[in-house]
Amino acid sequence: MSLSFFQILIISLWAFWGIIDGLSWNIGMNSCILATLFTGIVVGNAEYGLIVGGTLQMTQLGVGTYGGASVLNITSSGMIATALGASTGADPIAFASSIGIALAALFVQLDILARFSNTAFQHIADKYVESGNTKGINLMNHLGIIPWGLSRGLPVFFFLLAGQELIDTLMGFFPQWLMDGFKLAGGMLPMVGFAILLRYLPVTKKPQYVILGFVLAAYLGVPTLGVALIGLVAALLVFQNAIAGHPAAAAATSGGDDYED
Amino acid sequence: MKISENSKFTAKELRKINLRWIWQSQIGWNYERMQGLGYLSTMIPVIDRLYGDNPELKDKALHVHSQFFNTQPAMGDIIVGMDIAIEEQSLNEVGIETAASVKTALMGPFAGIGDTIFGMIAGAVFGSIAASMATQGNAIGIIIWTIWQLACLLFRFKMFDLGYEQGIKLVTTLSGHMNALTEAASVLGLTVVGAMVASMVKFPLSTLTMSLGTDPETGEELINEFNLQTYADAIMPALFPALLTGLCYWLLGKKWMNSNRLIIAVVVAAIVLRVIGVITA
Repeated sequence: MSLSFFQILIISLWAFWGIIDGLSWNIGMNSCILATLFTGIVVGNAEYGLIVGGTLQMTQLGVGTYGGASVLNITSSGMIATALGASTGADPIAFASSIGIALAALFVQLDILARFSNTAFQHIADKYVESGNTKGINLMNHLGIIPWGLSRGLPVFFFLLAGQELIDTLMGFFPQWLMDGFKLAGGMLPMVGFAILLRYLPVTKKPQYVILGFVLAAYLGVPTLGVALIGLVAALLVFQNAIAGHPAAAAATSGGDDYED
Repeated sequence: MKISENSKFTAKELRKINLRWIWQSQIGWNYERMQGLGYLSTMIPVIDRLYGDNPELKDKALHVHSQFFNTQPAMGDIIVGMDIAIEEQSLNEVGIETAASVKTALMGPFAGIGDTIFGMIAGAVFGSIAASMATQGNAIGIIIWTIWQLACLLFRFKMFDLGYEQGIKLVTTLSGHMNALTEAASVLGLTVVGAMVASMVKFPLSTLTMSLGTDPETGEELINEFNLQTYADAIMPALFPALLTGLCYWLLGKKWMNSNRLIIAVVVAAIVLRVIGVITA
């Protein structure tokens, strides 16, 4: 089964607009799983999209473009892996952790290129600042949409248009043990996401909460949402204690009450 | 939103500027000024209204607001609100300069708080739930995450109002609250990550078989099976996921290691371990 031009177009348009949404309203179009779910629905296999998106998302939990850093573009690569994988019938986890990860790494370059291209609009806007042309400034800011959108829309469009045969050939070369390895990698990769998160979180100052969560899940089998609620209880206690021990913050709380009236 | 008596804007106009920031803050993002172009573009209606009849001040404001700026976008709502409050109260050069220094002073710390709460913690908690459900073909998790993002969008109006209504005095009152909030949020994040390591990292150990030769009486081959997973579980459930995540954490602290290299290393390790038969698909 090959993709129709209309399918390719609508998936590429989502990719184009997804990054713009992620930069502005952020209602989720740029989140990997929603994008792969959408792609899955378009190609007629929603479950495939969910599995590909979930597998890729696990490698990047809580990872963001903080301070303008470029991160793996799992949204675009996930959409490509979903659309092409669903039609070839490849194992979604193995497919996501091979092609999905490889393309995500490749697309980082396009993110950098987009951020760099917008510097040109910045320079024109600088001239408009001198001449007081506010309409021009506004336009230059909006022109940034083009490099941003193309950095996501174009690769998705290109790979969906030309990638089917390329990937068929590629997959033909992959022996079973290699595909098994990729599938196992899919199960192991979440630990990278968690390790990155722990690097940002105060794990050395408060190791007890990591242990608490681990014990709840590993020994007691509490589901994720349940652990999150227990974590919320701990968070509320910490918050109340911090406010109580902080005169300035306590003053702000009472001040805040007045302001609500 | 509470508008001060000598405000130059109606509540509706202020909301429009708030929406301008949400829409424009990052579409023109570039390496040179980052959100600087978005900030300048957002402020155009403010500059036109406040300094429209004073070309000198208008020129000054355009230059000041085109400087480098970068923060977490939702926290930026507070800064934009504050900026407008400061400038419309002063209507002079000092006002513009005060606004400029408030922007510069707040963007860094606000980015730290915002990235922690809106980026890492929310991404970890909602992302883990969405990802674990998605890998089982369940869309509920991603729907919950999307609802959270919609709630965040609505919350941004509140942040803007807070910045505008409280102005500069917010800086002192907010600091204690924000630190407490960040601390509490990281506790939630740590708890969820601890659980996720146990439930989501899959490291299925193989069962090794070893021949002990043939039974001299029956002639059958004697096979001894070592179920590695049972041995590991006897020590602690999710032993290897915990150890390996610790290893990844340690590796990420090394100068020569980064997340992308680590991902490649894990993929290679998985293939090697599969080939030598330690883990099975």
